Amino acid sequence: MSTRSAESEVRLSFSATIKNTLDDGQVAQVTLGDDNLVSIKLHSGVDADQANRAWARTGHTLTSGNTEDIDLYDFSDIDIGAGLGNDGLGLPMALEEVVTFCIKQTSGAGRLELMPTNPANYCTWVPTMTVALGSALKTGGAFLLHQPDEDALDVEDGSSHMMRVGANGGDIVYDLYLIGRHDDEASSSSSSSTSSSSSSSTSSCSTSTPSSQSTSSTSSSSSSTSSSSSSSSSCTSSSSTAARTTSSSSSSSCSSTT
Amino acid sequence: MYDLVGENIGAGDGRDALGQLMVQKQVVVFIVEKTGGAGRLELMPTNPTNYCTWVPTLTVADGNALKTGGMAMLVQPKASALPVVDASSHQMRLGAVGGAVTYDLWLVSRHYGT
Repeated sequence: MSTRSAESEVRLSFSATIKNTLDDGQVAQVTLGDDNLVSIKLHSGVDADQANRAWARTGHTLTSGNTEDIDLYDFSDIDIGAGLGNDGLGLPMALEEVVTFCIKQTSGAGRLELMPTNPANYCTWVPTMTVALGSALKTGGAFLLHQPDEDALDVEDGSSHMMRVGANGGDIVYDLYLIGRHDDEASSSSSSSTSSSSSSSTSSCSTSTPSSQSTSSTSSSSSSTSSSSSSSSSCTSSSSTAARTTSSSSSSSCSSTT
Repeated sequence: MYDLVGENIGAGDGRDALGQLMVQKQVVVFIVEKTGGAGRLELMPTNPTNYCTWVPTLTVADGNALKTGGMAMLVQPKASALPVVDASSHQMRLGAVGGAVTYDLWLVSRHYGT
């Protein structure tokens, strides 16, 4: 009998420098930021700051005008390459809590919608992000929801377990990353006899948005200033798993720099 | 979210850290994190007038209000990011349920037109 576990890490850093260039060329600037806005290692388990499952599907295409429903409990219709409803080790998924939810549109001319309409028995905690609301993702756009405390984002099989993704205005390609807990498996055991299999995966995504703008300024004097900013953000997620006393580790990080 | 009127981070009401007036027409990065307190942090528990429609709803009722250490991030780096229109779509609301909350709010945005 194998035992599945997970070691996970989530990191988010933020840095932004705003500058104001005076007429004489002098620059005033302030840097805002936190290198460890979120920096947490989630050890294996089902309590606060713990998780014991990880799953990712990357580079998935959804064609324009279509939607797809994802069962966040057992992923019953999804095969990421290790069998329907299985994680990267080929072991059945059963998430009862999601600790980290990250979705990113990686390419495509369309816009990614979350919950354009609600499927039956939908997860209420998956937010609605649509073109109509102005929040549908474009390429490079990402949404991350992280809840490391006890009783994280609840998934109930049969009653609150579905999410819907839609492609609006064109095809989309997206990544979905999940770190979660299987509550009933504190020392998660399964009957699979995978003797000594292991796997690891790493994926990353990044976006950058350099921008600059100028404003002429302030006060009644004739002096003028210009301000500028540039920004970038990146998300990375990696997971590795090993079975027979199956263990998995995953990490994700996001950073934004301006 | 447009001019941050009523918010003073130490450099004057509605001003950024340089003391210059804030005017945001597009938000590129939106991050809110609950850093402390016994309560739960809600986003848009109810919608204020002229609210930003793209701010996600995170509530206790929906099961996604943030607990300590919880965080929500929305990133939209492409052109025409998350729109903010003064007086018509510029407000967001936060709520504390079950206790006080301490939170951080981080924004990266665009101001253009001047």
